[in-house]
Amino acid sequence: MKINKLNFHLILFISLILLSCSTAVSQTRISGFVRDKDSGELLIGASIVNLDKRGGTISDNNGFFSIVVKPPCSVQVSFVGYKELILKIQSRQNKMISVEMESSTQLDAVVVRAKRQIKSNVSTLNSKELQQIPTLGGKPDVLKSMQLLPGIQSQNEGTSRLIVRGGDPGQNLYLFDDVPVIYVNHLGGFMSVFNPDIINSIDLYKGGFPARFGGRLSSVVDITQREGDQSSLKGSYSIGITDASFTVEGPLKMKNTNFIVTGRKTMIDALMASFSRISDGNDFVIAYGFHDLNGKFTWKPDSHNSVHINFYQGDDYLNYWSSEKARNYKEKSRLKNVWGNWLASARWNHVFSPRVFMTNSLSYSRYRLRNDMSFSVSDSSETTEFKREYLSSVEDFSLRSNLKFQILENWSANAGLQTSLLKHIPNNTYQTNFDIQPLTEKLMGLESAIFLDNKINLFNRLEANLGLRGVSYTSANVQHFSLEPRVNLDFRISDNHHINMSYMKVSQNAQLLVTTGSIMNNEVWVPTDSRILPAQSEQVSLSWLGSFYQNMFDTELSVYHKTMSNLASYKEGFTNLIGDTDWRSKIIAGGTGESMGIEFLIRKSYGDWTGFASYAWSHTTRLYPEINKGLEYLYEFNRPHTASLNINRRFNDKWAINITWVYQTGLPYTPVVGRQYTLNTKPDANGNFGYYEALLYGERNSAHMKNYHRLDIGLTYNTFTRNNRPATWTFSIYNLYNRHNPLYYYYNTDAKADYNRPQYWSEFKPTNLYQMSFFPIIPSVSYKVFFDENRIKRTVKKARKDFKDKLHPTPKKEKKWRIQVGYGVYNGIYIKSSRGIRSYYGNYRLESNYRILKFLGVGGYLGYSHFTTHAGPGVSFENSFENKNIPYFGLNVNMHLMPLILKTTNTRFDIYLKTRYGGPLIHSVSENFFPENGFYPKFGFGAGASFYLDKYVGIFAEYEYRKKFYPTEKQLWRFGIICKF
Amino acid sequence: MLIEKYHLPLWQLSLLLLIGTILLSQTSCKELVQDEFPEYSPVPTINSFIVADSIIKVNISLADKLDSLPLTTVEDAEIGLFVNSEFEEFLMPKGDGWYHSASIVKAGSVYNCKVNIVGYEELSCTDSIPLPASILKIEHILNAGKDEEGLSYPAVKVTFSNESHSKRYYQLIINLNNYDDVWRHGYLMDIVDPVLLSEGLPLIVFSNEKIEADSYTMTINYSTGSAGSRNGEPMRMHLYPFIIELRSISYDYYLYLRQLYLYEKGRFPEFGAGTSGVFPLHSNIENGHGIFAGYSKTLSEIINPEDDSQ
Repeated sequence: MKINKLNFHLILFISLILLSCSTAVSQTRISGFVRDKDSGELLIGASIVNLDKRGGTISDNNGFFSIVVKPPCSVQVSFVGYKELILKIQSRQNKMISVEMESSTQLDAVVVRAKRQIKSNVSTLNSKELQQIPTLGGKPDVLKSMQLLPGIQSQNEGTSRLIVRGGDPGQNLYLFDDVPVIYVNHLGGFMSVFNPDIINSIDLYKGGFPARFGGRLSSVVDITQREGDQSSLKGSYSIGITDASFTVEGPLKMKNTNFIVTGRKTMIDALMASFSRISDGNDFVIAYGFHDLNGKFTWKPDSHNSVHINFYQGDDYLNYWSSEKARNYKEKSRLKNVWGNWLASARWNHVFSPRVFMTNSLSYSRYRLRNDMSFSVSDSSETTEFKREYLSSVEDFSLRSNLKFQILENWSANAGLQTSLLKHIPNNTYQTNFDIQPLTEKLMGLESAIFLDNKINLFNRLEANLGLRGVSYTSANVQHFSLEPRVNLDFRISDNHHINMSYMKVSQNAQLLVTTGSIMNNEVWVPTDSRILPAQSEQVSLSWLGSFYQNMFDTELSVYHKTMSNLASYKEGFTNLIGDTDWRSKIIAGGTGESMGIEFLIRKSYGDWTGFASYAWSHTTRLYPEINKGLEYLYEFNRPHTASLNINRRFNDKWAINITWVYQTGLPYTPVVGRQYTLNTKPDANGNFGYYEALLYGERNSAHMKNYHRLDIGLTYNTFTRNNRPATWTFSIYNLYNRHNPLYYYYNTDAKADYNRPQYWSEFKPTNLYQMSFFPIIPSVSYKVFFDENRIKRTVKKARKDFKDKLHPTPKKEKKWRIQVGYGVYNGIYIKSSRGIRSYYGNYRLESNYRILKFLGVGGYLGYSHFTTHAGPGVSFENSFENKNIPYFGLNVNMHLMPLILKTTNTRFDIYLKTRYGGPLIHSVSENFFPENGFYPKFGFGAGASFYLDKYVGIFAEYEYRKKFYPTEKQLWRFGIICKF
Repeated sequence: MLIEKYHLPLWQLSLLLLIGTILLSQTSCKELVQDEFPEYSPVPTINSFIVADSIIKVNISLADKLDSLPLTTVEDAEIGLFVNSEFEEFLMPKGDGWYHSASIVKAGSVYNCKVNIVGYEELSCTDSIPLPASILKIEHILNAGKDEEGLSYPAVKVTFSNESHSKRYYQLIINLNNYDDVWRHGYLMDIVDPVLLSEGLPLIVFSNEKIEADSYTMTINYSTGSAGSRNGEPMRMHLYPFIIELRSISYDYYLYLRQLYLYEKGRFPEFGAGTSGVFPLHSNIENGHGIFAGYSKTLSEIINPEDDSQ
């Protein structure tokens, strides 16, 4: 019988596996979890190396590892920032162990010179590294930190969206504890939805995906959440320019349970709302904000089982309210834009034996974009209402089951099943004025995948990861099935040098339509249908991975080639689907793409200075039948050269510095090569068509904007609060040397002129190229305070002791005088029904108070504001106003609330209620004008808060409601400086 | 106290940083990138919209580099006009780059111009003028819906004939008579018509691809662009007498109008509004730039919408 070539190779391969595992006799399997000794937190990516025999493994996303050893032997466990552990294995029995590692506080050399396993095709960032990297806004950002790695770029400056090896932003799979997150941006992409406080570790795959991952073409961002501290209740709260956040974690009363909850909220919403009210006389309120809330509950009934329940909810919102009341009618309008995710999941991990580990999860995630608008006008006889509601959403119910098992000593496998029920509503519009409401189009799909990953080690030289993933997608009118082979060969040249080769094929059944630069979210997901086929990608890559100087330096050099097909996009000129029932007409499908590149990374892991440097060259193109006349063009985000440098230095326990420098070739743009005349499409009264100048564009994306580079610096200062709690100040400066990096280019005749300035013959100006840049040097600061139940107990105990020691403590002398200098915006006088004559004027005030009691202050105030007085009927419009600076004065009584709550005096923060009696002294106003000359005292009431920056000086904000002094407005916000002495 | 000593400078530093942020964010973000551009040899440009029942007016100019002096028109071109492949006449120069025909454009004919300019290759352009379609019925609706500010807008329902067996392209214009002699176009509001929706752009420019019958009624919500309030009443859109102009346009004119919309949209990007790239104008000129396309039109009678409200 003849043996054909394929069968021969198969037999040879199996023989090699059997030969290489012939030493399986008398071997022992050690498996278990690696944890932080103090907090019990899982350590992901820890190296477990058999010191007597080459080879080892890495703890996975569950902190789980499994290794075969030949006792007696030594196994070394190491992790960056922790003291290495040597485990002596004597027993020949398979066993489960729990490895607890101690955090290292040594500054000079965090000793991680141990032998380490090198991970191929994946970039890992742990929470410590993440917290060090400064970003826009002073707080760490997961995705922006990822953008420093080679092969990963941002879409535009400031945005968190990732472009991985020439892929689209919607081609990245974000897994949050194994649950897909659909929308990953806050603040128009300037921040990511992942709260860094809850993140344990991030693995980013740019290629060579294991078969357990699929559904996205370009990358997998596998984020593992922390489980929370298992020893005591701990937490932190922080405040920065963009948001305030908190974290609480610790054990629960139920045995072996613990939790972690984190949250973030912008603080600009209230400020925006207040300012919009002040600035436009109460007619409208506009506010933007976001929040997110993350939680994880963990229960470990025994060493073999653990149950995790996760939830996440986060939204961005832009709200607008307005109301207008007049004599005969009332108008109200409301605009509400909300977009974000819901996510809930339950996961059960079970260790059957040191050889078999299982994970099952059930999850629900939902992304939705809502754009609602309502308007009502009421007059004496009727109310007219108009309402429009737009919704685009994706819901994903998933069940995932994963089994890891050891077949032979050097052959382990990972098999699993994933099934997702997907509900897409790409574009649903309800509008009260539609005669017939369009039917809500709910597109249901069932995406199922079955996979098998084999990890085979041959002679401790070659590690082959051979995987196959079968994906089926079924919806009402389409059915697709694809087989996705995954090959990852890792050849060990020596202990410190590897060559890696990978091939993968991936498909994607839902594609993201997105345009750049929109501050409003316009992300819409469209599923596969008869016209939009599943997008597919194939990628091959070859890498060299090495480490030098006792693992002080890691290096990686990769080349790759990637092709993409069946890509979908908005048709040229479109940025959203809102309001269009025939939304498919705005989408083009059948696009292809190609990307190739070289990437280099060198990382220094320990020593006084740590950090990394990276460089990448890439070339990416796209081809759509209906774009650029069907010709291939450079991808919108093709940046041939990118480089980054990140340096960290910890000087002592208090101070640390991080410096990041980024360089990128400018984004491509379509240059203008000349000007031509074209005709106006509207003829004049005589039927003649006039002509005007238009631009002649060159080849699409054939020029590059000027190169992008910037330097960021972050300074961390660790200190203690007055209550002896650890606290961290982070000062960062984005774009230190104030480089004006272009966001976009435009052609105009004058930078200061309006965009649509026509070209006048009489005043000809040549057309030039201008740039717009929006991110100059931006300093920011954030402050974070940590609390710990044990520490608080100790502090309280100490405070009690101190109190007993000082039976007659000497109270601090109370500061009794307060002087305030404030500024508010006053609405002037206007007649409501005569729209358009409203004015806004500054209102200046000097106020002093003396505390006659601990909680009561009395005093006086004086100041001036600008008034517009108004003439009575019969005066011509032109002469109906007079503008005056009018002084005002009065007396006030303030009730301070903090002394009623706290026994201390001179608190840093103060809240007070205020009553005043006083008013303006109108003078020199013409006859028949209102108000007439005179003093108009009235009562006013309000509340305020002050915050002292040091012992004497602070800032305050207060709100005041005063009795109506016709026809002025009744409310006022005031801000200023306060002194006490 | 030691802790107090540490807090004071940090707060001050934070304040300084914040003040610095505000000041620096005010720095200019517009700047000149380039004011000299590569050489670009002038290229002849032909522009003409041919309208049935009118004479042909062709404009000849030279496209030039970006920072050159004002563009120049060509006064000494020789323009031969061919109708249905038969030579018709040479166009007569009228100054300012314009050349006029003596003959009148007939719908259903194919027009071709051959343009010779000294020093340049011969330019050629061709287009056919479609036969006009008929307006069968016009209905005006006073309150068709409300815009985002609650302002009521009107609509017109226009029924017109269609040649379902051949590919046709149309443009529909609402000409509003604001004042005695001033006519301007109404603005398209919320698109509800399926034919317009399938076109994908907010224009009343469409093909008959989705019209199967020999006539079609199109609903167009429109705005006059003017509103006001009287005696404290809610704001109402002002209505004006109007004429419906139905143009049967050539395929090149159809492409030109669509591309012109995209060109204008991409001309000046706006921060925060989302970008859609830049788009060149459509051209059907051989060996040059410009557009040579046209249409025939049908006009309705003047309709006074206020009459409907009575």
